[in-house]
Amino acid sequence: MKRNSAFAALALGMLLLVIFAAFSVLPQRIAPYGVKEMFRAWQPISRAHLLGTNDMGYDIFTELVHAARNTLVIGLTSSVISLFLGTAIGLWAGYVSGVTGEVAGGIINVFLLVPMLPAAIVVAAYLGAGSGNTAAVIALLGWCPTARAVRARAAQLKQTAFVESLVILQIPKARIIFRHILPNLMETVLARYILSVSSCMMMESALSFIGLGDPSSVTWGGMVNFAYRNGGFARGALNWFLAPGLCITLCSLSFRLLNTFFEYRASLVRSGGAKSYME
Amino acid sequence: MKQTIRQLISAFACLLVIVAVNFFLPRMMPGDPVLMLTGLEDDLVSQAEYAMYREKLGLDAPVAAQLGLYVKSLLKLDLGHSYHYKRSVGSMLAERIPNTLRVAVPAVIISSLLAMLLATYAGSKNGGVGDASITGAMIIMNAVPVFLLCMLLITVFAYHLGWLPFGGLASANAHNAVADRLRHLVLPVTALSLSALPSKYLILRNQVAASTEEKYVLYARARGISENRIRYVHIFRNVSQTFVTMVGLNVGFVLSGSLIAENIFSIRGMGQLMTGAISARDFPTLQGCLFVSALAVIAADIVTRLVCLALDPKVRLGIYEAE
Repeated sequence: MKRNSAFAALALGMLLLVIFAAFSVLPQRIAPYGVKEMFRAWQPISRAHLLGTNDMGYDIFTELVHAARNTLVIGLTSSVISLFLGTAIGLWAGYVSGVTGEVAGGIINVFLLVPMLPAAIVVAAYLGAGSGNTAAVIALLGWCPTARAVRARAAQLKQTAFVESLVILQIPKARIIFRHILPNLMETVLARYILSVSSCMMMESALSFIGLGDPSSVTWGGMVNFAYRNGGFARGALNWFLAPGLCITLCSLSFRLLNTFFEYRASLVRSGGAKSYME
Repeated sequence: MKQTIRQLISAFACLLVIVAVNFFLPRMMPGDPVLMLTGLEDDLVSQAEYAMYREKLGLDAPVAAQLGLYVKSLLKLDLGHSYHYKRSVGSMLAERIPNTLRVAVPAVIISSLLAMLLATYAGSKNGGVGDASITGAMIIMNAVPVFLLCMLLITVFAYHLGWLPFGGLASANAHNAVADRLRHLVLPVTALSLSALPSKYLILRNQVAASTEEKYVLYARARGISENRIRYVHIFRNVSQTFVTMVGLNVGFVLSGSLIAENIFSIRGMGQLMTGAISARDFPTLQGCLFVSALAVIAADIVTRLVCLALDPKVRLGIYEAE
């Protein structure tokens, strides 16, 4: 990865994120119409309706802007919850040795195997539709990659000289874990968090597309679902289903681009400048 | 070896977790377990029917006895009865799984081969134009949800160009049955392959790029071995273990993707069964689908571990496990 392309990724990712953040913070300012304003149905793209109108006559661009907040909120909350779960279990599995550590490691391995979407569908079907439920389901099933990354890093840190000296100094275990190991994990955790937002959003869009989303607070995935069910797809109304689909793509892409930049930075630190075959 | 055994144990534990979820979820949810297990609506069930179902499901027995019965019926491959379709879940799945496999298996194979080829090419040209453009395209593709991909493919190739059918697995009156079936498979398999490709590619590319800096590559080059041979024989062997693991992990991903793709391409597979079951609140069917997908993922995982064991003497002999 070259320096320039890494910074280009950062700039593009930030730009996209700022746009979507503006959508979700100030939807009333950006959207040209109110959410419940109705017009003639099935209008094509025009000056008055940037993305046309849907089968009910709602302005699609307005709906798109308002859906940004719901989508981002579900993505961010579910990834925060899964971050806490993943960090806690990963720390436990990585640092604590003996039976409990084995158990925590086992839990991670077991949950890594659970087929995500089918499991999410079953749990979400039992819980019923609702933004909170969707976020909870995604978080409960999405913490494993974070836990795995944290476990690996924590196990690595445990071997380092500074942790060994802390142990020799008889610093209590809890203090070592929370005051000394945890701050060193921040980089790993943040990198995982960025990716996890993206994957949580993808998961949310898949669930909403299947029809398990919250009908009262529409997300982009839900918009695609409506377009698909109510004839937008059969009529080839690209403006209706492609626009929210592209928003999901771009939003998820923006987080992945940020991740690309952080990976580049991490690789610089690891390699410590020039590489050589002589070691 | 020890590592492999541990992983086999966790595969088995995963199956137990799924069984536990399937068993406890309907019994723990707020609401009546009879309604949760049958998926019937509260106001549509008469008193007599309710009592009949309650007895039939054995809900009056202690939980331990219920669990015993549940596990026993699973061991007999009895996945329960769908009160919505009025059929056994097992027979419906037996009907649907072949259709899912028809789409999912080619997608796993094609995406794995493509990922391997592209990754070895791009990884060995680390930083070049070819590498940058392929990797950039893959990062973008990784962000495209599978339903959007399916819809776009249909819009372009079926709706506008009219080259390929919109969906289904076969036409009613085709001249050449085999060619017709293949034509129907093109779009869903392409969509699934494209969605499964990027994640595998990105990991493999990094691995290949890292191994091009290893000493054995330098040594092979010094011996005058051609770049292509180094790439596809020497480096390939060294990343093959990651490759096999990726393919194994991908089975779950493709299965999830196929749940969505089947709906859009109107393929009568497990995914369509599942989405139909959601709107009908047909919980036994949903649970059966979850159980079968978990079985598939776990089977893939076990096969992966064994193949890795056969492939890599380092794993087989446990040389690097001391850490």
